[in-house]
Amino acid sequence: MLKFIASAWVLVGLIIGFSVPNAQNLATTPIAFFHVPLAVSMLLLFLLSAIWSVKWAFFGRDDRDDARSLAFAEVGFAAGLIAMASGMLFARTNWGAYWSWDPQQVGVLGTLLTYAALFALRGATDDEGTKRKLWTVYAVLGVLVACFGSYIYRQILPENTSLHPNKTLTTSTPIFRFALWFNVVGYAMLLICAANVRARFEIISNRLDERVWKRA
Amino acid sequence: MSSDSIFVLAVSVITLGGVFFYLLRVEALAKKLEERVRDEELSSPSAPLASVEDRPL
Repeated sequence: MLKFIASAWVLVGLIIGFSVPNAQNLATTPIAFFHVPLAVSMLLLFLLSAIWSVKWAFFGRDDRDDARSLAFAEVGFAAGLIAMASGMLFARTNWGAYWSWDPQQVGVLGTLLTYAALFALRGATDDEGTKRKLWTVYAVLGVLVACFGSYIYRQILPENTSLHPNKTLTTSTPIFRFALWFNVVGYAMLLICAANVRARFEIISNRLDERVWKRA
Repeated sequence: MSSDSIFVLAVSVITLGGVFFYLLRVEALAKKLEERVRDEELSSPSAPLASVEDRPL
């Protein structure tokens, strides 16, 4: 049911995004209603990934929780890659270059590289139990890096260091803010649906894996 | 709204439609696989599920 609501929500969000007048100093504003929601959703999915992994570690050690944690991190990573790609297009139009070593760009790149390393570390561990225990640490570390890279890093630098407008989600005009939050909710729901589907495959894969090992 | 914007909006809507139907398709596939695994587990109880932590190295 959520996937129908999410898709309809995103459809309405797209139309709202294209109907809102361009923000000041921002050509091609509609891309903001895709780029920002994906970046916010990335952070949300990384947070949910950490919550699932902590639930696995401290509340029952249900393997499905670990599968959900991995799925949310993977989908969050994909959202981050798309947000970065769309942000580069947005930057080319507005700032004249795809990449400007802007603190926000560097922060998100650092976050994505960290998650890539964490996925590689998880994949490099053979023992399933150890893999899951370590993933709990990785997921919590990952969300801390994500919070720092995509938000705190820019805040601790002097004002106007970043080309990214500051506090867009809270201090924009009411219509812009509404369109932005509307799309954030829509894309977050859609990505949560995608992560749940990915988790189902991971759970099935684990179950099949267990049966193969039991037979061996 | 300019014609360029309408074109981009149309492409976005088509892409969203594609993503939605792909999500539906993949979810149906997951459901089918879950049912097959469940059926197989019921038909061969000699291989009960166990924690993967018991798996031999």
